[in-house]
Amino acid sequence: MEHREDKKRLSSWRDIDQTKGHRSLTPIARWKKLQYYGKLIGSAAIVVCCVLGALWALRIVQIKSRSIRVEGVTQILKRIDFETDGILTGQWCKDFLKLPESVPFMDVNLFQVKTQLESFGQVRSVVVERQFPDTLKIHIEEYRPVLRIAVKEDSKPAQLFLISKEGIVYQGVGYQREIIGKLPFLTGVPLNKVGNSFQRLEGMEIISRLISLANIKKPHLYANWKSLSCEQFDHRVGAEWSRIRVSTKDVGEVIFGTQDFSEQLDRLDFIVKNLKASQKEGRVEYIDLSTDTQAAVQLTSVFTGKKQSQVRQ
Amino acid sequence: MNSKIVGAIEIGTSKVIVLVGEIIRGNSLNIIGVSEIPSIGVKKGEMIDLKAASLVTHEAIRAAEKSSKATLDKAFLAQTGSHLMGIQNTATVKVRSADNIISASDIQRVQEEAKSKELDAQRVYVNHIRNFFKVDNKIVENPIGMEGQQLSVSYWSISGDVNRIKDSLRVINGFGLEVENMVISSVASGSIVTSETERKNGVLVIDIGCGTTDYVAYKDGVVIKTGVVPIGGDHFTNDLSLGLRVNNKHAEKLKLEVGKAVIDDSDKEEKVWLIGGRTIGDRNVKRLAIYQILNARAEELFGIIKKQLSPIEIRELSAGVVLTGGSSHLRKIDEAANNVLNADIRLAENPNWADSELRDPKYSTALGLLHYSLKTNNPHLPEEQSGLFHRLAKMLF
Repeated sequence: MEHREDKKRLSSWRDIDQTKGHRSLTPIARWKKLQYYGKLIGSAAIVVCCVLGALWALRIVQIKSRSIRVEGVTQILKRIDFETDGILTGQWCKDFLKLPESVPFMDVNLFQVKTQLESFGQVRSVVVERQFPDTLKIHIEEYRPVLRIAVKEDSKPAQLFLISKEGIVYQGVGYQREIIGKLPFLTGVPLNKVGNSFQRLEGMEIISRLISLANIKKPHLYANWKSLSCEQFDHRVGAEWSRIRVSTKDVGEVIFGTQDFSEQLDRLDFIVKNLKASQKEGRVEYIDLSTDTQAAVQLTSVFTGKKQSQVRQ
Repeated sequence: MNSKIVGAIEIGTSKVIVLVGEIIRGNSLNIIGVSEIPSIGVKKGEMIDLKAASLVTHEAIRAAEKSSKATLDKAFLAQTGSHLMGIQNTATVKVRSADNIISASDIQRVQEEAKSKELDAQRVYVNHIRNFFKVDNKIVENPIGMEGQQLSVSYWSISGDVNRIKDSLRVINGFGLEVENMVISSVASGSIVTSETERKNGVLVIDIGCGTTDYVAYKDGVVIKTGVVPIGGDHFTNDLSLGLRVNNKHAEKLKLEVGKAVIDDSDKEEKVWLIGGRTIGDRNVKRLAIYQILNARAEELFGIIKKQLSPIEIRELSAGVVLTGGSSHLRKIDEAANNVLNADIRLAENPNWADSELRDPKYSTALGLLHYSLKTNNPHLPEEQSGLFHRLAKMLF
């Protein structure tokens, strides 16, 4: 190396490379070199420790700041995200819950909100969840009305309630008047009040099955149904005497047994068509479909008013 | 407080001296560490045993660091030895601008030209000491902005044997230090024992060391000549040892206790015991014998210096001759110098700002190095940083 350096023709002592060929000739120099490398390694270790420490501290700070951030944004509930499978609205929800303005997000009691909403008869089930940073998400499933009922309590005027297929009696909110107006009334059922609501009606799934079938299969017949009476209805299994009496606008009263509604509706349709063909539908007092494959049709005489019975197969 | 730690190292034939200084704000120097260790492995200013020389030098550096409680990264190194040679390098360039106004680039060109004079193989420049500028053969101090056609500059350039220089560097580098600057011993000591007025009037500084004698001549405030004579205090001792047939130890003692560099008629007939202490086998000689031996060597030494300086140069030394170095303690050496050089002679005194223990002329070179470092650092802003990181690094290293 020196040879090469000399070949370059050094002109000043400053051209001599002082960084090369430092052999430590003496123990003092070797000790100093050892100390130097020791300190170098030590300081490298310190630097590495500092970097690791800083990273660790940064991580801690980040975690802490994340939690601080949550605390910070949860101070106020800003939004209620409302979903339903029915007709209730977000505004109704707000009005119903009556949560105070600027309520701390974390102070909202989810269980209480759920219980409060489920206390409303129209609401079948509620899922409430917090969506951070500031949104309360409420998902509601509603009962669907199949019947309506007029209830008169003491001296108060009669009030209209709706009945779901599950037998829940409730005051409907938000329904269109036309839809409610098409629902048949339910009569002849005892209503028991529990607190502010009515006890669930037993056996309504059977009646709602009849209504659903009629609505789907024979809408022209169903459109004339005014009310259903449960005076002779017994929901228990094996109650052969159980009858559902439907008051109609065109063919008087139709009496259904509680078995095979589809077949009974077909028979009713056949009978009503025949009656209409013979222009006797206005004279029908009742049609009894509860007798297996037969139907008893009671007509009223136009002239004498005497009843005439026919049995059709 | 901005400060810089500087080290000055003189590896002499008889001793290694290390001084540690603290330059504060670039304009104030405090000497904070001193160490002096008898030298080995050095003869006539040149290293003959690198390992031995390294050992004592490293020990001296460590001792100085310990006494100053500072750590050196770089140091100024004094360079001596008969391999050093000085020549006058002069360069002339034409002023480039159309209006003949001298610019900084003209100065840079002429300086580079003067410094780039080729040397023999195996030789490198140690110092370039600028003498003066000339504009159209007229001496000027600062030619910038002056009008002229030709710009000249002269340097007293000192070169040395590359291997001797590398040996010196290897010793210092071997301790993990970098040589920040190399200054020849005579220039270093000359800057400390003479005043600016003396240098302007013309003065010759003779630094008589143990193995060599370095000299520097100043005129008009600039160095006009330097040289190294391979004769030092050891030669006086050797002469006594050979002439009187005593060992070096006793010869050294005789030189210091009864020796004179001139023949003193008042006591020349007195006899002195060569060993003393009533030692068996001791014998006595007339002082005259001692004086004659020492005077012969002194006249030889000053004769060589006189020979190396031209008569004109000697005549121009209005401020006389200053003797310094450890061997300038020889009694009547100033008279011997006067007899040869026929000039006003005085013995050097180190400046008052140095501690009393550093006033001895043997410290002139090391003090001169520190002084040189102060001058080098003075025009610049202090390099020492006082930031947290720097302090931390300093603490670690």
